[in-house]
Amino acid sequence: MSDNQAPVSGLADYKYGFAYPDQSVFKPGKGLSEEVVRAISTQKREPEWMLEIRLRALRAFYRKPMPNWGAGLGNIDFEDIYYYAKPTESVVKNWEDLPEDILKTYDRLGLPEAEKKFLAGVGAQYDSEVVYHSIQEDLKSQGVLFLSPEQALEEHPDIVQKYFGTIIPFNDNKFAALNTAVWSGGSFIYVPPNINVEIPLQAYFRINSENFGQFERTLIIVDENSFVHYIEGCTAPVYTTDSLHSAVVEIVAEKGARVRYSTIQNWSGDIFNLVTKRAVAKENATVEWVDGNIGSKRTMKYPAVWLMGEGAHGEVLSIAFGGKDQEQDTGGKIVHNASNTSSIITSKSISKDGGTATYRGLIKVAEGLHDVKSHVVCDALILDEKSISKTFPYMEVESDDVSVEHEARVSRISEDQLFYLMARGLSEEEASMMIVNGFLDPLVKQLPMEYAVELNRLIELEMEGSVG
Amino acid sequence: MNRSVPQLAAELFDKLSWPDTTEEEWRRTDLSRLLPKDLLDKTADLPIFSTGDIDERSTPLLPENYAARVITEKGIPVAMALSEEAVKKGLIVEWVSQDRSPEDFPISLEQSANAELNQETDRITAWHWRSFPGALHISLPERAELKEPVIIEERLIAGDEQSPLFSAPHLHIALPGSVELNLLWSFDGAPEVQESIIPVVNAGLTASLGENSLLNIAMNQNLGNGVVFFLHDNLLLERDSRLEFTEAHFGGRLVKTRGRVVLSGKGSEARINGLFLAEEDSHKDIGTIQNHLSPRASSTALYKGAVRPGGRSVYHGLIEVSPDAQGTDAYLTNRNLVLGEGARADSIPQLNILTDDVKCSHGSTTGKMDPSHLFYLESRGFSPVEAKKELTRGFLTEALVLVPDTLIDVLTDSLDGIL
Repeated sequence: MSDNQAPVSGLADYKYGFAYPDQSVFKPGKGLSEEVVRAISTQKREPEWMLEIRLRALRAFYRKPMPNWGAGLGNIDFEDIYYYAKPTESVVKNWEDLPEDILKTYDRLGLPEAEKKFLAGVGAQYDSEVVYHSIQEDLKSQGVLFLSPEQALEEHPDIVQKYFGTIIPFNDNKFAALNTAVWSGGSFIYVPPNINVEIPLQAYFRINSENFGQFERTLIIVDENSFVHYIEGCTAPVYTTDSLHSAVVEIVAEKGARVRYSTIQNWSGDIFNLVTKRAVAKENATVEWVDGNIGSKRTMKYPAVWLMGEGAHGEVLSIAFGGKDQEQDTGGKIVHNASNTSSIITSKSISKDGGTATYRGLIKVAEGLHDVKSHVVCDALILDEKSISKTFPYMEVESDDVSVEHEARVSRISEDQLFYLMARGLSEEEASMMIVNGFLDPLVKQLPMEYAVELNRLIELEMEGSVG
Repeated sequence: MNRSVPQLAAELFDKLSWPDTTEEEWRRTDLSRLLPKDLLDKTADLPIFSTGDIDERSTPLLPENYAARVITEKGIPVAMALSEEAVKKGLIVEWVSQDRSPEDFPISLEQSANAELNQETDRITAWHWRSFPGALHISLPERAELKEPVIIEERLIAGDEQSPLFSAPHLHIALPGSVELNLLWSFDGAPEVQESIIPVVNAGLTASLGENSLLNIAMNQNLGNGVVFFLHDNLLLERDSRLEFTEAHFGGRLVKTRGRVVLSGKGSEARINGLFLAEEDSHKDIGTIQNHLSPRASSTALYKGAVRPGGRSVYHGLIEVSPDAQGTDAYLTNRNLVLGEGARADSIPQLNILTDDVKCSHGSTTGKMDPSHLFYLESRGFSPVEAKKELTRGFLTEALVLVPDTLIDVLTDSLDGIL
């Protein structure tokens, strides 16, 4: 393949690799300190208790060791990162009110079209603050809250305080601590009981300042017997220096609720993507994570579901594409803490051009439970001899009345399949593409149409020139 | 002058500290929690026993159909008998005392030791190579086929009352090209266990299989429930050789094993099977590595474990495929049977694949006994206890498929003993 076809190898070729001059309003210096954390909190006019949590998290961050497993994180320089930037003065209501350069950026991402397509609320993140936010009137009338976490903290401090940091404590791991200390932006969703949010809610996140880590914080609470589908998509411009993205996503699915969280992550090739995602599913609740990881330099992300009530169900669908210089360390975790619970993890990974795709997962069944079922399937496709695929599933079973199954397969594109397709007149490239698409199909089908199309397009871009 | 293997190991031993849960391999086997404090230190302080060459040995009864029988105590051969057939074929059973000068040390044993000590090793392995009294070195001349099995019995008998009981037996098998050898390594003995004196066995098995050779090893670990058992294997396969390996861990309060099969020759083939039963208050941590270094080699692992209430088992298996190992075919299966409330089984099958032309897969299941199977047997007149026993037996016996007919009784007897 020729280098200029690789979508993440250089600025000129990267489809989303454009950036407008940085016009952020408030931007403390690089590096992390108590002053920075206090400044962020003051800037956001936060209540005292939030500042408290931030400061405790900061101490936890200093205390916690770097993970000694997973993707190689050796060269993150925490002092060389901006921890906060507020792009415009205040949150705007209408699309037209957005600053022009931000608008242009979004235009190129195709956001207004997404809006035209009637996709519920658009919470768009430019740098770290939500600058644009719209919720359709019918959602509002249903009592559904779809806000930035800052807004939520201002308007509904009681709900935020009740749930914030309860699913992922501030000292859960080094990067969750970092996020808790300096979080900014993200989404807050509250769905009242017995509401079915028919349209997927979505937010675009975007990193625009060089060396600027994005630490968004998402909290989704779905009350009894309600349903919501939240979609998060990421694209970022290409810079040469390393950047850090460390998000925290907390989900609470109350009795009988169902939450689906879909991500297509396409960070550019110089970003460390270290995300902590965890959901709690109560009695008869269902939580589904659909997680596609295509870009970034290093990804460590293991969406988790804690099944806390009887009848709860958890699902993780994970796609990882490890291209040149990339290490995708992804997977899923399910903790069965109640009887009559079930879970499924399906992982599909592709590694190419010397990239690494790793599945790392955990199935844990607590003591004294009955009728617990879990099934894990990992399929990996290796496209050339330089590329690497790893599988690290952990299964910890402490009850007897359970069924825990795991299977994994690693292979390359079979000659037979290629030969068959080429005999039908397809070029080798088309045939490979078709096989890869077929390989991913079971997961792609789970995505809404626009996202399925986008994912297919991204994979196509990544696959370009991979043969011959 | 070259340093000897025990010297090298002693240096390593002094440099390392006892493995703790910060190391991935020991994360689920916390020695500081599972063993009384100081037990390892006290046991490791025991004087190292070396024998020199042994001239006097008694001759044990040699059952029919066996090629040879060697009885060892604390790893040192005390009785040995070879059949006429074995003598005729040229079977060599040699005692290599640890104090032999490095010049006279068999090369393949030294290579195996270095391979183990140079890899990311831990203190337990270093301890073995530091303190082993010597190795039982088994070999055959080129092109010799010995169908009848060689049986090696390690007996653990109580030492004096005051000092801890420690044994570090080592078995080394060096096969040249085109030979066939069948072998059983058996561990027996249930010495009385006192609060502070817990017997520790730290065993090692190394083998090299020359081109086209076939080695079938069965291990029958049937020690008493109070014993701590460590085992590490390093089995090296040359071109087109074939290994059939079965390990059965029935006894022991703490068992921690790490078996590495290195497929270093093209077209080599390894089948490794294991079965283990974790009784109440016992901890079994079984580990295997299928290390593919050469093209077109294949390996299959089948490990089956049963865990009783209050017991804990851990299985971790790794398939590792190096960039040169094109055309690798590797499979790994772990099945765990949980026999009641309060039993815990962890399963960690892993793949680490550095090239594309491979077929690798693993499967793992953990579950309880199928109630319909129990019901069926009960309806045929089995009591619930018997039915459970039979199903457990049937479940575990699947992993004995590689054991030669002449040896199968030894293993099924051990299995019956604990069911």
